[in-house]
Amino acid sequence: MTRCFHCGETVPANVRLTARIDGRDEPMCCIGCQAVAQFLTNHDHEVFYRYRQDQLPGEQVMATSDDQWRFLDAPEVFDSLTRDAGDGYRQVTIKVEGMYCSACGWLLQKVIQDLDGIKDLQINTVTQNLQLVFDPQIITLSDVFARISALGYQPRQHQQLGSAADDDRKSQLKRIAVAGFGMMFIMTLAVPLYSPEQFTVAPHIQRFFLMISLLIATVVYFYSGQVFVSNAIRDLRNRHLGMDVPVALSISLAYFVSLYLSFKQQGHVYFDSMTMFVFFLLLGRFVESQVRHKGMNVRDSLFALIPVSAHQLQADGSEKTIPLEQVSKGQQIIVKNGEVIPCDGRVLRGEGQVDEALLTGESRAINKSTDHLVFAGSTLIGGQLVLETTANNEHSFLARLAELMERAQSQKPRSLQLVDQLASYFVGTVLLLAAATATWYLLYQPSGLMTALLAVLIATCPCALSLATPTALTAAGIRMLKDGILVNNTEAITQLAPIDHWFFDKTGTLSNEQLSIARQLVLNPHDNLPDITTTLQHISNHPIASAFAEGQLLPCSAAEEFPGLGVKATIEQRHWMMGSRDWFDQHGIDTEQLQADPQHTVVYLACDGQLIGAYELTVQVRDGAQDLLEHLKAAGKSLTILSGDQPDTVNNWAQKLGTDQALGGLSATDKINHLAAKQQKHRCVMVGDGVNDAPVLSQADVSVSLKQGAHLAHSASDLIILGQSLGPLKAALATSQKTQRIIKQNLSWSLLYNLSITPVAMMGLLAPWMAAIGMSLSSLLVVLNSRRLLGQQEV
Amino acid sequence: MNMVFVLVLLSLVLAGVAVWALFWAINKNQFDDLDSPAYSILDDDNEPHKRSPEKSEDKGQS
Repeated sequence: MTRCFHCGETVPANVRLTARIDGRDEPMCCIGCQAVAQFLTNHDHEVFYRYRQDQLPGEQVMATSDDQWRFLDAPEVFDSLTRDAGDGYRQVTIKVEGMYCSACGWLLQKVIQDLDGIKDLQINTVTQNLQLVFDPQIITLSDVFARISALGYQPRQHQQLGSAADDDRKSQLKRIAVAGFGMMFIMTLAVPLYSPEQFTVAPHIQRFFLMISLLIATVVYFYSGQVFVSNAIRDLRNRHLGMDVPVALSISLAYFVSLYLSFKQQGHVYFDSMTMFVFFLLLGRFVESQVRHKGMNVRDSLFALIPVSAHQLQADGSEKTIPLEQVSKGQQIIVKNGEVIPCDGRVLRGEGQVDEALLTGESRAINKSTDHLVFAGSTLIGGQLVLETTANNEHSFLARLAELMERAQSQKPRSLQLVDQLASYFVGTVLLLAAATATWYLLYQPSGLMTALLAVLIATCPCALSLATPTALTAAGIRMLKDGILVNNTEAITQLAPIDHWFFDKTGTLSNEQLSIARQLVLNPHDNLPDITTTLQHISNHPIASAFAEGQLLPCSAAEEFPGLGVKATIEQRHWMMGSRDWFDQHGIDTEQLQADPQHTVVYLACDGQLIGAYELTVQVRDGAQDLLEHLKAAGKSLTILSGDQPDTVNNWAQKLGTDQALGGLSATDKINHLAAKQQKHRCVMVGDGVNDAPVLSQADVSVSLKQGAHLAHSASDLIILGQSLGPLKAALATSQKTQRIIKQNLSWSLLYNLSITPVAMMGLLAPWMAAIGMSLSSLLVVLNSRRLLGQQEV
Repeated sequence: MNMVFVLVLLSLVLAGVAVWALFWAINKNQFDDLDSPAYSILDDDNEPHKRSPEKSEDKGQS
């Protein structure tokens, strides 16, 4: 198997890309890698463009026309997408799908930066955002979009600049910064305050130090600590004992008591403990919140699919391009061939085929004519429709779907809910213990009251307990991303390893989507057949065409495609045709003389009505599939293939791959039923290709899909394989096992810590600063333990 | 002993400057993408202007 010279990924079977490096043609797995290699070996972009017509391995380059993005230049649309950046420049944020690695970012940087009129370019490969400042006098927005899509990426307009999650993250960082600086400052001042005998000579300095501490503590309490207080108030209103209740209680108590004491000039102040507590807790929260935002932003990626403008049909019959926000119920909208339908509506006039794969997973186009309903986000493949909108944009089917999915995503994983519940009981206990301690000290030893009370509240706070699971899950999520798996549902991380029943879809999952030539049957030898077949198949965008990518393109004329039948063209003054047997039979060409195996897909080739030969095509086993199945089998898992394909073919595959069971000829409902039957007793993993398997995927306990096709289907699955190989799943399995171990360690450690520190704190043996350190160290230990998941790990 | 007052207040001002600098950096999205800027050093040409073909050939030799 060939490896890409640049990135080391396996080169897909039909990709014949090379780059000349040090005088040798080295194989390249994808255009991105190739282009980067070319740049590195000091060529310019020309070579890259020559290969542009080839299919990209990851996602096929969609047939793009430069006109596709013209709507972006309409003034209303342009204004809603871009904002003024001074000096006549405009700023725009573009979401670029398919940009996953730094190499992609680098390539885009190179190509876009070289366009005229680009002032500034920022690329963030993590969020897949490209921020551009450009001069609209020199370059139009549609040119930029066309250039990005020409490189094989999919640019999407990004409407809101800066999302809520982003702002949230920023304010969290700021709070941490303030608490951190405050903590360091107060600590410095606190050192002399701890030995008050030194101040007998200069009591005014002690007073000064106290006041400075007070000032900083006030800032920290009201700026950084306020989240805890407001969360605690919210929790109490909802009659729920959250982790924030004792936290808010202890920081408020520490702050106000210290405030009182520092004016009274007696007793010990606890500003240092308070700021330290706030700082470490905020840090922990930050880590935790990063886990939840790790998942894909469903709303953004869904809405990026709808165009930002629509063609409104005016009363006088003229067309007007209006921004999407202005589309409201009852308007008439024209949708043209190839456009994405901008809003839900009922067809008034016209007919056409609509691709609803995104919404329903149905990959076949559906015929729509008068009175049929169409939905925003589906694509019109043929024809032209006039719609009457039936819903405002924010109430469209797509918007409802996005809401449902957001709700599903915001739900905490069950394992975390359990820990939260446990922690809530813990908090209740802590408060009771604190009250008991306070009462006892009040009665018998009033001088030690504050120390013991704060120590109990701080030291026994179940922070480590609440960090135990989320930190491990974050670390595992990052680890999996490094291995090439995007985690959509963190719960799946720990569930993956223990499940014993694995189900696989065949087409597009165990098999590659690309076809390859299994056998050539040539009747009449002819020169440069590979070139001719490549040229002929280039006319078509049928999946079969992917098998014929070896040759060079020749000039051809009178090219014509007969969908479902074949292609015709004239090359070098000879009439060539290539297609199915039925089609050839219609043309009276005898195909019987070739003994082609009916098990395979067979494509026939003829020249001037003479049969030249036939090609038997076969799908290949996906890279890494064999390896993964062997690994799973060795681990004692039961493996089943569920496929809609012919039972014979499926059985062949089962034998080839060595699975326990193989079921063919199943519809999507059959698959669900089969899975549901198994789920009565067992938990199941389903691996599918995500497009037509979306319902089956959501039925499974853990679902894995490949990064291809519909975006919506991805959201239905827990784990998404980013590359072309199934290999990363093997690594994910190991990570899953390790995560489980680490979570167990974390939980037992934090429980042990809390149980042992409580009596010590109640006895008043623990100063509040010691309690704060103890609490922070126990949390730190948990975080560091989770971090081990990130490290190098041999599978 | 009065020096203590000056120094403590001075350090307070310095801390304020540090916090301000950090806020500025956060607002400028400096902490948004911590991975890809590491590769920007490999990008040898940050000029926003179009390069002529000859120039890129020259660059090729370097």
